[in-house]
Amino acid sequence: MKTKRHILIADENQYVVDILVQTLSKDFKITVANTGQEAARLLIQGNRFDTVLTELELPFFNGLELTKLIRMSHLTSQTPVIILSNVSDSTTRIECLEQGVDAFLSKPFNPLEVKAKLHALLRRADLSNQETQDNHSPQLKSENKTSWPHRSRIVSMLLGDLAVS
Amino acid sequence: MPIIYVLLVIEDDLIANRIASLVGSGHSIVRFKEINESERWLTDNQQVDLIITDRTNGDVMVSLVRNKRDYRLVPFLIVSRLGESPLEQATLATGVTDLLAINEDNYRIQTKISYYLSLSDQIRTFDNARPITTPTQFRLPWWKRFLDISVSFTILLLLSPMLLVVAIVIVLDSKGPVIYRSKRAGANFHVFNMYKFRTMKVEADQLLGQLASNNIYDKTDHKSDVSINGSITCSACEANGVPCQKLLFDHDRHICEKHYLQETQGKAKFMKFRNDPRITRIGTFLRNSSIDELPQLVNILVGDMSLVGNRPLPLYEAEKLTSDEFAKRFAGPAGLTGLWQVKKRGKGQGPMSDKERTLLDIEYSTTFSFKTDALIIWQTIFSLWQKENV
Repeated sequence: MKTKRHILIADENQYVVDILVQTLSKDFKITVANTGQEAARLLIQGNRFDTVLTELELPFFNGLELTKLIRMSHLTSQTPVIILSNVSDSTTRIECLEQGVDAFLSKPFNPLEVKAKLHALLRRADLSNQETQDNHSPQLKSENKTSWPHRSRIVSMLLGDLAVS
Repeated sequence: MPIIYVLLVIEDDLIANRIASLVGSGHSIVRFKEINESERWLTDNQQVDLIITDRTNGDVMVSLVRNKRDYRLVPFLIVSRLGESPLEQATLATGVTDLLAINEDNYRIQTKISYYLSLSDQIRTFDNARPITTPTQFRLPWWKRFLDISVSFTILLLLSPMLLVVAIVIVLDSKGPVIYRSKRAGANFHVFNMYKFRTMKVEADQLLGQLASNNIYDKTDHKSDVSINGSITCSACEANGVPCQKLLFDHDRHICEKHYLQETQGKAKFMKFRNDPRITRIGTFLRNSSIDELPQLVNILVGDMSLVGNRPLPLYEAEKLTSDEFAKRFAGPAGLTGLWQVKKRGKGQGPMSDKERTLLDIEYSTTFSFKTDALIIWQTIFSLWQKENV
Protein backbone atom coordinates (compact mmCIF):
# COMPACT_ATOMS: atom_id res chain seq x y z
CA MET A 1 0.00 0.00 0.00
CA LYS A 2 1.28 3.41 -0.90
CA THR A 3 0.63 5.93 1.82
CA LYS A 4 -0.36 9.48 1.00
CA ARG A 5 2.44 12.00 1.00
CA HIS A 6 2.18 14.56 3.75
CA ILE A 7 2.24 18.23 2.82
CA LEU A 8 2.25 21.34 4.96
CA ILE A 9 0.29 24.35 3.72
CA ALA A 10 1.07 27.68 5.34
CA ASP A 11 -1.31 30.44 4.32
CA GLU A 12 -3.27 33.07 6.19
CA ASN A 13 -6.16 33.19 3.78
CA GLN A 14 -8.73 30.64 4.88
CA TYR A 15 -10.42 30.60 1.50
CA VAL A 16 -7.27 29.98 -0.45
CA VAL A 17 -6.57 27.12 1.94
CA ASP A 18 -10.06 25.73 1.36
CA ILE A 19 -9.51 25.68 -2.37
CA LEU A 20 -6.15 23.98 -1.99
CA VAL A 21 -7.48 21.39 0.42
CA GLN A 22 -10.41 20.60 -1.85
CA THR A 23 -8.12 20.03 -4.81
CA LEU A 24 -5.26 18.29 -3.04
CA SER A 25 -6.86 16.17 -0.35
CA LYS A 26 -7.46 13.27 -2.69
CA ASP A 27 -3.75 12.94 -3.40
CA PHE A 28 -2.16 14.16 -0.20
CA LYS A 29 -2.39 14.17 3.54
CA ILE A 30 -2.60 17.83 4.44
CA THR A 31 -1.71 19.84 7.50
CA VAL A 32 -2.61 23.51 7.52
CA ALA A 33 -0.81 26.26 9.41
CA ASN A 34 -2.54 29.63 9.37
CA THR A 35 0.54 31.60 10.31
CA GLY A 36 4.22 31.30 9.66
CA GLN A 37 4.76 30.73 13.34
CA GLU A 38 2.43 27.80 13.44
CA ALA A 39 4.33 26.30 10.55
CA ALA A 40 7.63 26.92 12.32
CA ARG A 41 6.32 25.34 15.50
CA LEU A 42 5.27 22.24 13.63
CA LEU A 43 8.75 21.94 12.18
CA ILE A 44 10.52 22.56 15.49
CA GLN A 45 8.37 19.91 17.09
CA GLY A 46 9.86 17.54 14.60
CA ASN A 47 6.88 16.89 12.37
CA ARG A 48 8.05 15.61 9.02
CA PHE A 49 6.52 16.71 5.75
CA ASP A 50 7.18 15.57 2.23
CA THR A 51 6.63 19.04 0.80
CA VAL A 52 5.93 22.50 2.14
CA LEU A 53 3.68 24.95 0.31
CA THR A 54 3.79 28.43 1.76
CA GLU A 55 2.70 32.00 1.16
CA LEU A 56 5.55 34.48 1.19
CA GLU A 57 3.98 37.29 3.15
CA LEU A 58 3.14 35.80 6.50
CA PRO A 59 3.20 37.97 9.63
CA PHE A 60 6.02 37.45 12.20
CA PHE A 61 7.54 34.52 10.37
CA ASN A 62 7.47 34.79 6.63
CA GLY A 63 7.90 32.27 3.86
CA LEU A 64 11.60 32.96 3.43
CA GLU A 65 12.32 32.51 7.12
CA LEU A 66 10.38 29.28 6.98
CA THR A 67 12.47 28.18 4.03
CA LYS A 68 15.61 29.02 5.98
CA LEU A 69 14.42 26.91 8.88
CA ILE A 70 13.74 23.98 6.58
CA ARG A 71 17.07 24.26 4.82
CA MET A 72 18.94 24.63 8.12
CA SER A 73 17.95 21.26 9.50
CA HIS A 74 19.76 18.14 8.34
CA LEU A 75 16.49 16.29 8.62
CA THR A 76 14.46 18.55 6.35
CA SER A 77 17.04 20.15 4.09
CA GLN A 78 15.95 18.01 1.15
CA THR A 79 12.25 18.82 1.54
CA PRO A 80 10.86 20.64 -1.49
CA VAL A 81 9.49 24.11 -0.77
CA ILE A 82 6.94 25.82 -3.01
CA ILE A 83 5.98 29.45 -2.63
CA LEU A 84 2.45 30.43 -3.60
CA SER A 85 2.25 34.16 -3.29
CA ASN A 86 0.53 37.37 -4.22
CA VAL A 87 3.86 39.00 -4.92
CA SER A 88 4.80 38.15 -8.43
CA ASP A 89 7.57 40.40 -9.65
CA SER A 90 10.67 38.71 -10.92
CA THR A 91 12.99 40.22 -8.30
CA THR A 92 11.05 38.53 -5.52
CA ARG A 93 10.95 35.30 -7.47
CA ILE A 94 14.68 35.38 -8.01
CA GLU A 95 15.37 36.13 -4.36
CA CYS A 96 13.18 33.24 -3.26
CA LEU A 97 14.82 30.80 -5.62
CA GLU A 98 18.24 31.94 -4.43
CA GLN A 99 17.23 31.41 -0.81
CA GLY A 100 16.44 27.78 -1.41
CA VAL A 101 12.89 27.72 -2.68
CA ASP A 102 12.24 25.07 -5.30
CA ALA A 103 9.31 26.58 -7.15
CA PHE A 104 7.37 29.80 -7.24
CA LEU A 105 3.69 30.06 -8.18
CA SER A 106 1.76 33.29 -8.05
CA LYS A 107 -1.81 34.06 -7.09
CA PRO A 108 -4.32 33.93 -8.63
CA PHE A 109 -3.44 30.33 -9.25
CA ASN A 110 -4.86 27.27 -10.88
CA PRO A 111 -5.15 24.65 -8.12
CA LEU A 112 -4.52 21.94 -10.67
CA GLU A 113 -1.19 23.53 -11.48
CA VAL A 114 -0.30 23.46 -7.79
CA LYS A 115 -1.16 19.79 -7.69
CA ALA A 116 0.93 19.05 -10.77
CA LYS A 117 3.84 21.03 -9.37
CA LEU A 118 3.71 19.11 -6.09
CA HIS A 119 3.76 15.81 -7.92
CA ALA A 120 6.62 16.95 -10.12
CA LEU A 121 8.76 18.02 -7.17
CA LEU A 122 8.03 14.85 -5.22
CA ARG A 123 8.96 12.74 -8.22
CA ARG A 124 12.31 14.49 -8.33
CA ALA A 125 12.82 14.21 -4.57
CA ASP A 126 12.05 10.49 -4.64
CA LEU A 127 14.65 9.92 -7.32
CA SER A 128 17.40 11.69 -5.42
CA ASN A 129 16.44 9.89 -2.20
CA GLN A 130 16.83 6.59 -3.96
CA GLU A 131 20.25 7.57 -5.20
CA THR A 132 21.55 8.57 -1.80
CA GLN A 133 20.26 5.33 -0.38
CA ASP A 134 22.13 3.41 -3.02
CA ASN A 135 25.28 5.32 -2.19
CA HIS A 136 24.90 4.65 1.48
CA SER A 137 24.79 0.91 1.35
CA PRO A 138 28.38 0.05 0.51
CA GLN A 139 28.54 -2.85 2.97
CA LEU A 140 25.62 -4.48 1.30
CA LYS A 141 27.28 -4.21 -2.07
CA SER A 142 30.68 -5.50 -1.01
CA GLU A 143 29.13 -8.40 0.85
CA ASN A 144 27.69 -9.83 -2.30
CA LYS A 145 30.28 -11.39 -4.44
CA THR A 146 30.88 -10.18 -7.92
CA SER A 147 27.91 -11.91 -9.49
CA TRP A 148 25.22 -9.53 -8.12
CA PRO A 149 26.77 -6.10 -7.86
CA HIS A 150 23.47 -4.27 -7.82
CA ARG A 151 21.42 -6.38 -5.53
CA SER A 152 20.02 -3.48 -3.57
CA ARG A 153 18.77 -1.91 -6.74
CA ILE A 154 17.19 -5.11 -7.92
CA VAL A 155 15.53 -5.65 -4.56
CA SER A 156 14.07 -2.18 -4.69
CA MET A 157 12.87 -2.80 -8.21
CA LEU A 158 11.12 -5.96 -7.15
CA LEU A 159 9.62 -4.67 -3.96
CA GLY A 160 9.01 -1.15 -5.23
CA ASP A 161 7.90 1.18 -2.50
CA LEU A 162 8.34 -1.35 0.27
CA ALA A 163 12.07 -1.35 -0.15
CA VAL A 164 12.35 2.39 -0.31
CA SER A 165 10.22 3.44 2.59
CA MET B 1 17.69 39.97 30.41
CA PRO B 2 16.32 36.46 31.00
CA ILE B 3 18.78 33.61 31.36
CA ILE B 4 18.90 31.24 28.42
CA TYR B 5 19.14 27.59 29.41
CA VAL B 6 20.69 24.95 27.22
CA LEU B 7 20.21 21.37 28.38
CA LEU B 8 22.76 18.76 27.39
CA VAL B 9 22.08 15.08 27.97
CA ILE B 10 25.28 13.53 26.72
CA GLU B 11 27.33 10.70 28.13
CA ASP B 12 30.57 11.36 26.30
CA ASP B 13 32.57 14.02 28.18
CA LEU B 14 34.54 15.12 25.15
CA ILE B 15 31.50 15.84 23.03
CA ALA B 16 29.69 17.51 25.90
CA ASN B 17 32.62 19.80 26.63
CA ARG B 18 33.03 20.69 23.02
CA ILE B 19 29.38 21.65 22.63
CA ALA B 20 29.40 23.52 25.91
CA SER B 21 32.33 25.59 24.73
CA LEU B 22 30.55 26.35 21.49
CA VAL B 23 27.29 27.41 23.09
CA GLY B 24 29.13 30.34 24.58
CA SER B 25 29.38 31.91 27.98
CA GLY B 26 26.31 34.10 27.68
CA HIS B 27 24.03 31.15 28.31
CA SER B 28 23.48 28.86 31.20
CA ILE B 29 24.45 25.31 30.31
CA VAL B 30 23.14 22.34 32.25
CA ARG B 31 24.59 18.95 31.55
CA PHE B 32 23.51 15.48 32.63
CA LYS B 33 24.70 12.02 31.79
CA GLU B 34 21.44 10.28 32.41
CA ILE B 35 17.85 10.89 31.56
CA ASN B 36 16.51 10.45 35.09
CA GLU B 37 18.59 13.31 36.40
CA SER B 38 17.63 15.57 33.54
CA GLU B 39 13.98 14.75 34.03
CA ARG B 40 14.21 15.77 37.67
CA TRP B 41 15.90 18.98 36.65
CA LEU B 42 13.20 19.71 34.09
CA THR B 43 10.39 19.28 36.59
CA ASP B 44 12.10 21.65 39.03
CA ASN B 45 13.11 24.16 36.44
CA GLN B 46 10.35 25.12 34.03
CA GLN B 47 12.44 27.00 31.56
CA VAL B 48 14.67 25.52 28.91
CA ASP B 49 15.48 26.95 25.48
CA LEU B 50 17.40 24.26 23.68
CA ILE B 51 17.93 20.58 24.31
CA ILE B 52 20.85 18.67 22.87
CA THR B 53 21.19 14.94 23.44
CA ASP B 54 23.21 12.07 22.08
CA ARG B 55 21.95 9.12 20.12
CA THR B 56 21.51 6.74 23.06
CA ASN B 57 19.45 9.13 25.13
CA GLY B 58 17.68 10.74 22.20
CA ASP B 59 14.64 8.55 21.65
CA VAL B 60 13.50 8.36 25.26
CA MET B 61 14.28 11.97 25.90
CA VAL B 62 12.39 13.28 22.91
CA SER B 63 9.14 11.55 23.78
CA LEU B 64 9.53 12.74 27.34
CA VAL B 65 9.98 16.34 26.22
CA ARG B 66 7.29 16.40 23.58
CA ASN B 67 4.69 14.95 25.90
CA LYS B 68 5.01 17.82 28.31
CA ARG B 69 3.16 20.97 27.44
CA ASP B 70 5.85 23.35 28.60
CA TYR B 71 8.60 21.96 26.42
CA ARG B 72 6.68 21.28 23.28
CA LEU B 73 8.26 24.15 21.42
CA VAL B 74 11.83 23.62 22.54
CA PRO B 75 14.15 22.81 19.64
CA PHE B 76 15.57 19.33 20.14
CA LEU B 77 18.91 18.44 18.59
CA ILE B 78 20.57 15.05 18.47
CA VAL B 79 24.32 14.77 18.20
CA SER B 80 25.20 12.71 15.20
CA ARG B 81 27.85 12.10 12.61
CA LEU B 82 27.09 13.56 9.25
CA GLY B 83 27.08 10.99 6.51
CA GLU B 84 25.33 8.34 8.49
CA SER B 85 22.94 6.41 6.37
CA PRO B 86 19.61 8.07 5.68
CA LEU B 87 17.94 4.81 6.65
CA GLU B 88 19.14 5.42 10.16
CA GLN B 89 17.80 8.95 10.02
CA ALA B 90 14.42 7.61 9.15
CA THR B 91 14.30 5.54 12.33
CA LEU B 92 14.67 8.68 14.43
CA ALA B 93 11.63 9.30 16.54
CA THR B 94 9.49 12.16 15.38
CA GLY B 95 9.93 15.17 17.56
CA VAL B 96 13.59 15.66 16.79
CA THR B 97 14.13 19.08 15.26
CA ASP B 98 17.57 18.59 13.80
CA LEU B 99 20.81 16.65 13.89
CA LEU B 100 23.88 18.36 15.24
CA ALA B 101 26.64 17.03 13.05
CA ILE B 102 29.59 16.62 15.36
CA ASN B 103 32.05 16.15 12.55
CA GLU B 104 31.33 19.56 11.08
CA ASP B 105 33.58 22.49 11.90
CA ASN B 106 33.04 24.58 15.01
CA TYR B 107 31.73 27.60 13.19
CA ARG B 108 28.85 25.71 11.60
CA ILE B 109 27.86 24.04 14.84
CA GLN B 110 27.94 27.37 16.56
CA THR B 111 25.80 29.01 13.88
CA LYS B 112 23.27 26.25 14.15
CA ILE B 113 23.01 26.49 17.94
CA SER B 114 22.63 30.24 17.94
CA TYR B 115 20.08 30.03 15.14
CA TYR B 116 17.87 27.69 17.15
CA LEU B 117 18.27 29.80 20.26
CA SER B 118 17.13 32.93 18.47
CA LEU B 119 14.39 31.00 16.75
CA SER B 120 12.77 29.69 19.89
CA ASP B 121 12.75 33.26 21.11
CA GLN B 122 10.97 34.41 17.97
CA ILE B 123 8.42 31.63 18.03
CA ARG B 124 7.50 32.13 21.63
CA THR B 125 7.07 35.91 21.64
CA PHE B 126 3.68 35.62 20.00
CA ASP B 127 2.42 32.75 22.00
CA ASN B 128 -1.23 32.52 21.16
CA ALA B 129 -0.85 28.86 20.36
CA ARG B 130 -4.07 27.52 18.98
CA PRO B 131 -4.58 23.89 18.28
CA ILE B 132 -3.76 23.09 14.67
CA THR B 133 -7.05 22.99 12.84
CA THR B 134 -7.80 20.11 10.59
CA PRO B 135 -9.04 21.65 7.37
CA THR B 136 -12.79 21.81 7.04
CA GLN B 137 -14.65 21.94 3.79
CA PHE B 138 -17.73 23.90 2.88
CA ARG B 139 -20.81 21.70 3.05
CA LEU B 140 -24.36 22.56 2.15
CA PRO B 141 -26.61 23.03 5.15
CA TRP B 142 -29.25 20.33 5.36
CA TRP B 143 -32.16 22.66 4.59
CA LYS B 144 -30.46 23.81 1.40
CA ARG B 145 -29.71 20.29 0.25
CA PHE B 146 -33.25 19.22 1.08
CA LEU B 147 -34.69 22.11 -0.92
CA ASP B 148 -32.36 21.33 -3.81
CA ILE B 149 -33.33 17.70 -4.05
CA SER B 150 -37.07 18.20 -3.74
CA VAL B 151 -37.33 21.19 -6.07
CA SER B 152 -35.01 19.92 -8.79
CA PHE B 153 -36.62 16.50 -8.76
CA THR B 154 -40.11 17.97 -9.05
CA ILE B 155 -39.20 20.34 -11.86
CA LEU B 156 -37.38 17.63 -13.80
CA LEU B 157 -40.40 15.39 -13.48
CA LEU B 158 -42.88 18.07 -14.55
CA LEU B 159 -40.81 19.35 -17.44
CA SER B 160 -39.60 16.02 -18.78
CA PRO B 161 -41.94 16.06 -21.82
CA MET B 162 -40.74 19.55 -22.74
CA LEU B 163 -37.08 18.63 -22.23
CA LEU B 164 -37.56 15.72 -24.59
CA VAL B 165 -38.99 18.01 -27.27
CA VAL B 166 -36.14 20.47 -26.85
CA ALA B 167 -33.63 17.65 -27.18
CA ILE B 168 -35.18 16.52 -30.46
CA VAL B 169 -35.20 20.07 -31.84
CA ILE B 170 -31.51 20.52 -30.99
CA VAL B 171 -30.60 17.33 -32.82
CA LEU B 172 -32.59 18.43 -35.87
CA ASP B 173 -31.21 21.98 -35.86
CA SER B 174 -27.47 21.31 -36.06
CA LYS B 175 -24.92 18.55 -35.88
CA GLY B 176 -23.65 17.43 -32.49
CA PRO B 177 -24.73 16.11 -29.11
CA VAL B 178 -27.78 17.39 -27.22
CA ILE B 179 -26.02 18.03 -23.98
CA TYR B 180 -22.99 20.25 -23.70
CA ARG B 181 -20.66 19.36 -20.84
CA SER B 182 -18.49 22.07 -19.48
CA LYS B 183 -15.89 21.71 -16.74
CA ARG B 184 -16.76 24.10 -13.95
CA ALA B 185 -15.36 24.99 -10.57
CA GLY B 186 -17.90 25.03 -7.77
CA ALA B 187 -17.65 25.42 -4.01
CA ASN B 188 -14.04 25.15 -2.83
CA PHE B 189 -13.02 24.78 -6.46
CA HIS B 190 -14.60 21.37 -6.73
CA VAL B 191 -14.37 20.62 -10.45
CA PHE B 192 -17.35 18.93 -12.08
CA ASN B 193 -19.10 18.60 -15.43
CA MET B 194 -21.90 21.10 -15.76
CA TYR B 195 -24.67 20.10 -18.14
CA LYS B 196 -26.38 22.44 -20.56
CA PHE B 197 -28.34 22.10 -23.74
CA ARG B 198 -26.02 22.75 -26.64
CA THR B 199 -26.69 26.18 -28.07
CA MET B 200 -23.48 26.63 -29.99
CA LYS B 201 -21.90 24.98 -32.96
CA VAL B 202 -19.65 22.07 -32.11
CA GLU B 203 -16.32 23.82 -32.64
CA ALA B 204 -17.34 26.72 -30.39
CA ASP B 205 -14.50 26.37 -27.91
CA GLN B 206 -11.84 26.64 -30.58
CA LEU B 207 -13.39 29.84 -31.87
CA LEU B 208 -13.05 31.44 -28.45
CA GLY B 209 -9.42 32.44 -28.88
CA GLN B 210 -10.11 34.27 -32.13
CA LEU B 211 -12.94 36.15 -30.55
CA ALA B 212 -11.06 37.30 -27.48
CA SER B 213 -10.39 40.69 -29.01
CA ASN B 214 -14.12 41.44 -29.21
CA ASN B 215 -14.55 40.83 -25.49
CA ILE B 216 -16.87 43.43 -24.00
CA TYR B 217 -15.22 43.18 -20.59
CA ASP B 218 -11.74 43.91 -21.85
CA LYS B 219 -10.45 47.16 -20.43
CA THR B 220 -6.93 47.50 -21.75
CA ASP B 221 -6.21 50.18 -24.21
CA HIS B 222 -3.60 48.69 -26.46
CA LYS B 223 -2.82 51.97 -28.15
CA SER B 224 -1.10 53.44 -25.10
CA ASP B 225 2.03 51.38 -25.64
CA VAL B 226 5.11 53.46 -26.17
CA SER B 227 7.31 51.72 -28.62
CA ILE B 228 10.99 52.54 -28.89
CA ASN B 229 13.19 50.40 -31.10
CA GLY B 230 10.64 47.66 -31.01
CA SER B 231 10.66 47.44 -27.22
CA ILE B 232 7.91 48.64 -24.94
CA THR B 233 8.71 50.75 -21.92
CA CYS B 234 6.54 51.85 -19.04
CA SER B 235 5.71 55.44 -18.27
CA ALA B 236 7.90 55.48 -15.14
CA CYS B 237 11.05 54.61 -17.04
CA GLU B 238 9.99 56.91 -19.82
CA ALA B 239 9.74 59.85 -17.42
CA ASN B 240 13.19 59.20 -15.98
CA GLY B 241 14.64 58.86 -19.42
CA VAL B 242 16.41 55.64 -18.53
CA PRO B 243 16.20 52.24 -20.13
CA CYS B 244 13.89 49.91 -18.32
CA GLN B 245 15.28 48.21 -15.23
CA LYS B 246 13.11 45.13 -15.34
CA LEU B 247 12.89 43.79 -18.83
CA LEU B 248 11.06 40.63 -19.68
CA PHE B 249 11.76 38.93 -22.96
CA ASP B 250 8.99 37.99 -25.31
CA HIS B 251 9.31 36.19 -28.64
CA ASP B 252 10.32 39.17 -30.71
CA ARG B 253 10.46 42.12 -28.36
CA HIS B 254 11.32 43.26 -24.86
CA ILE B 255 8.60 44.36 -22.52
CA CYS B 256 8.86 46.21 -19.24
CA GLU B 257 7.72 43.96 -16.40
CA LYS B 258 5.66 46.71 -14.79
CA HIS B 259 3.90 47.32 -18.05
CA TYR B 260 3.32 43.63 -18.58
CA LEU B 261 1.79 43.15 -15.14
CA GLN B 262 -0.51 46.11 -15.66
CA GLU B 263 -1.56 44.74 -18.99
CA THR B 264 -2.37 41.30 -17.67
CA GLN B 265 -4.31 42.79 -14.78
CA GLY B 266 -6.35 44.89 -17.18
CA LYS B 267 -7.38 41.82 -19.13
CA ALA B 268 -10.90 40.81 -18.38
CA LYS B 269 -11.61 37.87 -16.12
CA PHE B 270 -14.77 36.97 -17.99
CA MET B 271 -15.52 36.67 -21.64
CA LYS B 272 -18.83 37.46 -23.23
CA PHE B 273 -19.68 38.68 -26.66
CA ARG B 274 -22.57 40.55 -28.15
CA ASN B 275 -24.36 38.72 -30.93
CA ASP B 276 -22.04 35.77 -30.76
CA PRO B 277 -21.75 34.20 -34.23
CA ARG B 278 -21.20 30.74 -32.76
CA ILE B 279 -24.76 30.38 -31.47
CA THR B 280 -27.13 28.14 -33.40
CA ARG B 281 -30.59 29.24 -34.57
CA ILE B 282 -32.49 27.42 -31.85
CA GLY B 283 -29.70 28.42 -29.46
CA THR B 284 -30.75 32.05 -29.35
CA PHE B 285 -34.21 31.08 -28.24
CA LEU B 286 -32.96 28.57 -25.68
CA ARG B 287 -30.62 31.14 -24.19
CA ASN B 288 -33.13 33.95 -24.02
CA SER B 289 -35.66 31.73 -22.34
CA SER B 290 -32.95 30.22 -20.10
CA ILE B 291 -34.15 26.76 -21.12
CA ASP B 292 -30.54 25.85 -21.95
CA GLU B 293 -29.78 25.99 -18.22
CA LEU B 294 -32.37 23.39 -17.27
CA PRO B 295 -30.11 20.30 -17.45
CA GLN B 296 -28.26 21.80 -14.51
CA LEU B 297 -31.10 20.49 -12.41
CA VAL B 298 -29.33 17.17 -12.75
CA ASN B 299 -26.19 18.73 -11.30
CA ILE B 300 -28.29 20.01 -8.44
CA LEU B 301 -29.85 16.62 -7.84
CA VAL B 302 -26.41 15.01 -7.77
CA GLY B 303 -25.08 17.65 -5.39
CA ASP B 304 -22.49 19.46 -7.50
CA MET B 305 -24.57 22.60 -7.35
CA SER B 306 -27.38 24.16 -5.40
CA LEU B 307 -30.44 26.07 -6.58
CA VAL B 308 -29.08 29.35 -5.33
CA GLY B 309 -25.39 30.12 -5.24
CA ASN B 310 -22.46 31.55 -7.09
CA ARG B 311 -22.22 30.83 -10.76
CA PRO B 312 -19.86 27.89 -11.24
CA LEU B 313 -17.21 29.36 -13.50
CA PRO B 314 -15.32 27.73 -16.34
CA LEU B 315 -11.84 26.83 -15.17
CA TYR B 316 -10.01 29.51 -17.15
CA GLU B 317 -12.14 32.15 -15.45
CA ALA B 318 -12.16 30.54 -12.03
CA GLU B 319 -8.40 30.29 -11.77
CA LYS B 320 -8.16 34.06 -12.08
CA LEU B 321 -10.23 34.52 -8.96
CA THR B 322 -8.08 32.46 -6.62
CA SER B 323 -6.25 35.50 -5.29
CA ASP B 324 -6.22 36.50 -1.63
CA GLU B 325 -8.80 39.14 -2.42
CA PHE B 326 -11.35 37.01 -4.23
CA ALA B 327 -10.83 33.44 -3.08
CA LYS B 328 -13.64 33.87 -0.58
CA ARG B 329 -16.02 33.53 -3.48
CA PHE B 330 -15.39 29.78 -3.48
CA ALA B 331 -16.37 29.47 0.17
CA GLY B 332 -20.03 29.56 -0.86
CA PRO B 333 -22.14 27.05 -2.74
CA ALA B 334 -22.24 26.96 -6.51
CA GLY B 335 -25.69 27.53 -7.88
CA LEU B 336 -28.05 27.84 -10.79
CA THR B 337 -29.15 31.35 -9.95
CA GLY B 338 -27.64 33.84 -7.59
CA LEU B 339 -27.38 37.38 -6.37
CA TRP B 340 -25.86 38.93 -9.45
CA GLN B 341 -28.34 37.36 -11.81
CA VAL B 342 -31.28 38.96 -10.02
CA LYS B 343 -29.65 42.18 -8.86
CA LYS B 344 -28.79 43.96 -12.06
CA ARG B 345 -28.91 41.77 -15.08
CA GLY B 346 -32.63 41.18 -14.71
CA LYS B 347 -33.37 44.87 -14.85
CA GLY B 348 -31.77 45.18 -18.24
CA GLN B 349 -28.89 47.39 -17.19
CA GLY B 350 -25.53 47.33 -18.87
CA PRO B 351 -23.12 44.51 -18.21
CA MET B 352 -21.79 44.34 -14.69
CA SER B 353 -18.05 44.57 -14.27
CA ASP B 354 -16.36 41.36 -13.23
CA LYS B 355 -15.24 42.92 -9.98
CA GLU B 356 -18.81 43.84 -9.03
CA ARG B 357 -19.92 40.34 -9.86
CA THR B 358 -17.25 38.79 -7.70
CA LEU B 359 -18.02 41.10 -4.81
CA LEU B 360 -21.69 40.08 -5.01
CA ASP B 361 -20.60 36.45 -4.98
CA ILE B 362 -18.57 37.05 -1.86
CA GLU B 363 -21.48 38.90 -0.29
CA TYR B 364 -23.72 35.95 -0.95
CA SER B 365 -21.33 33.34 0.37
CA THR B 366 -20.98 35.17 3.67
CA THR B 367 -24.64 36.04 4.21
CA PHE B 368 -26.74 33.33 2.63
CA SER B 369 -29.70 31.97 4.56
CA PHE B 370 -33.03 30.36 3.91
CA LYS B 371 -34.61 33.79 3.61
CA THR B 372 -32.20 35.19 1.04
CA ASP B 373 -32.42 31.98 -0.95
CA ALA B 374 -36.21 32.15 -1.09
CA LEU B 375 -36.05 35.79 -2.13
CA ILE B 376 -33.56 35.11 -4.90
CA ILE B 377 -35.62 32.22 -6.25
CA TRP B 378 -38.66 34.47 -6.29
CA GLN B 379 -36.82 37.23 -8.15
CA THR B 380 -35.30 34.78 -10.59
CA ILE B 381 -38.71 33.73 -11.81
CA PHE B 382 -39.26 37.29 -13.00
CA SER B 383 -35.90 37.75 -14.67
CA LEU B 384 -35.93 34.51 -16.60
CA TRP B 385 -36.52 36.19 -19.92
CA GLN B 386 -33.42 38.23 -20.64
CA LYS B 387 -33.80 41.35 -22.65
CA GLU B 388 -30.17 41.64 -23.41
CA ASN B 389 -28.65 39.40 -26.00
CA VAL B 390 -25.60 38.15 -24.09
